[in-house]
This record gives sequence, C-alpha cells and structure tokens, in this order.
Amino acid sequence: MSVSQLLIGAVSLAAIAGLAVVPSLVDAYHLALGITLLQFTILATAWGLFSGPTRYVSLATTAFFGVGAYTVAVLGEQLPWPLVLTVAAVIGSVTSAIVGLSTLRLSGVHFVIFTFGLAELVKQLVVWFEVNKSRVLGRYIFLDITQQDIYWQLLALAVIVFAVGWLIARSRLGFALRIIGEDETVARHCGINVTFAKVALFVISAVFMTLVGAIMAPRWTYIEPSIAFNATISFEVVIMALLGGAHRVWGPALGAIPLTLLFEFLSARFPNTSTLIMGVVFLLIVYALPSGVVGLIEKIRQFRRGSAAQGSGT
Amino acid sequence: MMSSSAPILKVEGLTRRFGGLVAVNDMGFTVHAGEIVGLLGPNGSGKTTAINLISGVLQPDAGRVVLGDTDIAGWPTFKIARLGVARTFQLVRVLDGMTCGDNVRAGLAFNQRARIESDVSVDGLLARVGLADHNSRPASELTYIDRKRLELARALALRPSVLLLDEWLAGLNPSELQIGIALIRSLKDEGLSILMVEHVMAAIRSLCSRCVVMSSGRRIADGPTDTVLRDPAVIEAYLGAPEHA
Ligand SMILES: Nc1ncnc2c1ncn2[C@@H]1O[C@H](COP(=O)(O)OP(=O)(O)OP(=O)(O)O)[C@@H](O)[C@H]1O
Ligand SMILES: [Mg+2]
Repeated sequence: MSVSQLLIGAVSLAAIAGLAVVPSLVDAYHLALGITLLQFTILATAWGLFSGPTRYVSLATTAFFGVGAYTVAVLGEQLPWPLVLTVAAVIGSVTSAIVGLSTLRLSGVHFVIFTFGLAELVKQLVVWFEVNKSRVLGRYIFLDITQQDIYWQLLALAVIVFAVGWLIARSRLGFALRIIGEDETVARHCGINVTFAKVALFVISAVFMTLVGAIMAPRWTYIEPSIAFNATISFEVVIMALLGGAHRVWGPALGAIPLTLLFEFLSARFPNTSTLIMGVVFLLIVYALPSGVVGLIEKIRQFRRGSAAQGSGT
Repeated sequence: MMSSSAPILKVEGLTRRFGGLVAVNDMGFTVHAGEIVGLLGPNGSGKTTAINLISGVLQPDAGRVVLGDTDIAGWPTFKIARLGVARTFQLVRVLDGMTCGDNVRAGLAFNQRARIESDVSVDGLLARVGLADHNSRPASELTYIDRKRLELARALALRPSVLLLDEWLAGLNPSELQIGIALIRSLKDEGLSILMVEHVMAAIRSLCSRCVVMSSGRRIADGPTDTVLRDPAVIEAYLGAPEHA
C-alpha cells in the first residue's frame, strides 16, 4: 500500500468517526438535515453505480425506495428490525432483477420511459392491493427507532455503498461495465455477458435504494403510496448524480451534498417557486457541466499537468 | 491431434432475411486450420452479414455454423467469442475512452482461453501489431492505421481459433497496405486460421489460398484464388455491380 492510499484510508476513517458523533452534537433540525444529506448521497451514489458506466438514465429510484418503505410499513411490527431490512433487500433485488432482465435490452430512451412508468406501476399496484385486499388507505409506522438510529444506519449504509462502488470499480465486473459503456458490441465480442453485467449492477444499485427507503420509513409515522413513491426523488437523484459526475464512485456525492442544501434552502425560502428554480438549475448543470464536477476537476488537473509539462519542457 | 485438413469453421446452408431481402442465401464454405480464406463479392452482396451471423451479432434464419465440432449458430456473441471466434469491424471500433493497454486487456480479461495462457501479455500483443510502448497511450490519439492495429490486437487477445477480418486493409495508403499485408501473413505463419472479407486485389492474391465469392447473398464461386479470380461468373458479378463500374 502506498503512502497516499494509507492517507486516504486514515482521512476516511477520521471522517466516518467524525460523522458518527454528529447526532450527539447537533439539534433536531440539523440532525434531520444530516439524514436528508445521507439519504441523497446514498441514492445518488447507488444510481451512479449502475448509470455511470452503462450511461442508462434510470428514473426508477423512487420505485425501489418506495418498495423499501412499504416493506417496513407492512412488516415493521411483525419481524425484528434486521430481518425487516433483509426482507426489503430481497424484495428489492428480486424486483430489480425482473425489471432488469425485461428492460435492459431496450435502448436508451425507451429505458428512461420504462423506468419512469415502473415507479407509477408499482405505486398503483400497492394502491390496488391496499384498497382491495388490506382495505386501508395508509399505514401507521410505530417503531422504536429514533432519528439518531436512522442517521447511524444511513451512515453505515453510505460507507457500504462507497466500499462496494470502490470494489466494483476495481473488479472485472467494473472493467466489463466500462467497456459496455464505451461500445456494447465490442464488449460482446470480448466475451462479456453484457446482459448479466448490466442486470447485476442494476440489482446492486436497487438494493441500496430499497434499503434507504426502508431505513427512512420510520421517519414518517404515517405512510401512503403517494409519500413512499414520490417521483420527484427520482428526478432529484438524476440531477445530483449528473452534477457530481457519475463516471466516478465519489462523483454523485459531490452533486448530492450541495444540491440537497440548495433544495432545502429553496423550499424554505421560496416554497412556491422552488420546483421552477430546480428545473433551471438542472438545465444549467447539463449545459455548463456536461461531465459534472468530477469532469471539471479532471479537466483542471489535466490543464495543470499540461502547463507543468510545458513549463519543464521549455 | 487435429490434422491440417480438419475444418476449423464450417458453414452450411446459412440463410438470413431482412424483410423481403435475402441478404445471405444458403451459404456454405469451410476454413481449414492455418489457412486464409478470402470472402469476396460486390458491395451489398452479404459479406458483412455473413460475418455477423458467424459471430452471433445476427441470428440466422437457417443453417449451421460449426466451430471445431460445435454448432454455434444462434449462440449469443459473448459465448462465441469465448469459444475463440475473434473479429474486426468494417468500420473500425476501438474503445476511445480507454488507453491502448486497456483496449487489449478488454480482449484478455473475459476469456478463459486467453487468461490461462501466461505468455499472452498486453505489451506482447501491442508489440505484435506494431504498437510497442503504446500501453498507456489514449486510444483516441491513434492514427487510422494504428486504430486498425489496436483493433487487431484486441481480437488476437482472445487467442482466436478463427479470426474474421472485415475489410481490415480498407482505407490504408500503399505503404501502409504493405505493412498490413505483412502483418496478416505473419499471423498465418503462426498457424492462425483467418476468414477475410477484402476488396483489395493485391492483398487477396498474396494472402488467400482460397476464395469464396458471394453475389446477392449466394455463393457463386469457391476454390483456389487464381481459379476463382479468373472465373467468368465472378468477373461478371464484379463488373455488373454499378458501384464498381
Ligand atoms: N441490419 C440490416 N437490416 C436490413 N438490411 C440489412 C441489414 N444489414 C445488411 N442489410 C442489407 O443486406 C445486404 C447485404 O449487406 P452487407 O453489409 O452484408 O453487404 P457487404 O457484402 O458487406 O457489402 P460491402 O462490401 O458494402 O460492405 C445489403 O443489401 C444491406 O442493405
Ligand atoms: Mg461489408
């Protein structure tokens, strides 16, 4: 291991330890903000795990998030908490595997529309089931889980999602996905099982989204389909990941953190026009930073290296 | 041991339609171990479609593609590639966002055949096609002929039992053409079996021991190169094609 790797490891550990003690230092408002920050960081990073290398734009985030939240609403009081999370993860992975196998042969635009429709479909299925079978409109979630517990669980999940992303990027699967992102035909001719690689990543990404939904659920005491399956989340996550830059594991977080703060600020200051402003922000991002913050950083580095080489050369 | 006359690749009754057009019509031919077979024909005669059917990009409507003793017709491309069918593309395809080294590694990494051969290395393959010291160079910086070389190195990384070249020599200038011909000949000298779609007559004459000629999806000739190129039916197919007139 090199010195810089050790340094990065040490800094990360210190950062995790620092973040872990935050709940005991801040008031309820800031704890809630911290939870929202972690939620979007994980969602955007998980989104980038799949969409970064494959360049598929998925609007299914809220479908998996909602599946996680509803699993808790239904099973939360029946089973011990770790088991609830496990069941949520299993449901999320089965759902995403089915969706992946049936849609990843679609080309880009069709995939976007399908994933958008998927969230609505899952939501309507839940509504239908609740109205006709369980005969309730919404559900109450009374669990002995505090805001601090939610925060710590999300922090742990964030660590895991980064670790998984880091491992994938260095694995053969990650290499396969980079090749697929470059040229799918070439990938197949190199012996890559493209469908398997894509579905695998789609499932991994979806499991994290489902778990975020499950962990977040106890935050609401009352839940109904329109709360759990909120399409805005899907769009926000795409914007965040694109702002950060989805072709690096840590890219989406660089978009999630500032945008969460910005959205929070906007919806507090301009509650009526915040959606409009968000739209404008989105347009500006796509226009000004096509490869995101990560792309910008890489460009600056390259520029520096270029001018340094010139300086030493002459 | 496989005798030198055992076919590596045997195509029988291969057929593929696009709507009303029969792009490949009851095609049959063989490639034997260590030989270069030319696949010729005027524009639109179905050569690339035949390559796509063999490599699994397209599914045949009928026919057999036998590799060694396995019928691979209709198999997914990645499985066919893992069995040792490597190819290049009529419009050269390299992974532009990656280094030359990673382009070759792409061919090595997903393939048991390649990975167990410890003597196959990225640098060795790059040097093999004339790109020594290009390992960390971005593929996007390469000239046209070097892109062709890189694509070939990626194909060779699969340790192919048969190599399919779709007009690999097209677009090279006269001196590059000599380099290209020498490179392909050296592959044959190492024992590689090659099926090459080609229009460049000089290359066909100097490289191909046998040629198969297609016209409108059908095989109109198959035999030793000299005989085939003198065949009146072949000459007429070429002269009859307005693109070549
Ligand atoms: N995917 C496709 N869909 C519909 N028609 C196709 C498709 N691919 C090829 N064709 C048609 O099939 C015929 C054979 O095309 P193909 O590309 O195989 O010819 P070729 O011999 O490789 O020609 P060239 O020398 O110009 O490369 C052409 O008429 C072409 O238009
Ligand atoms: Mg062609």
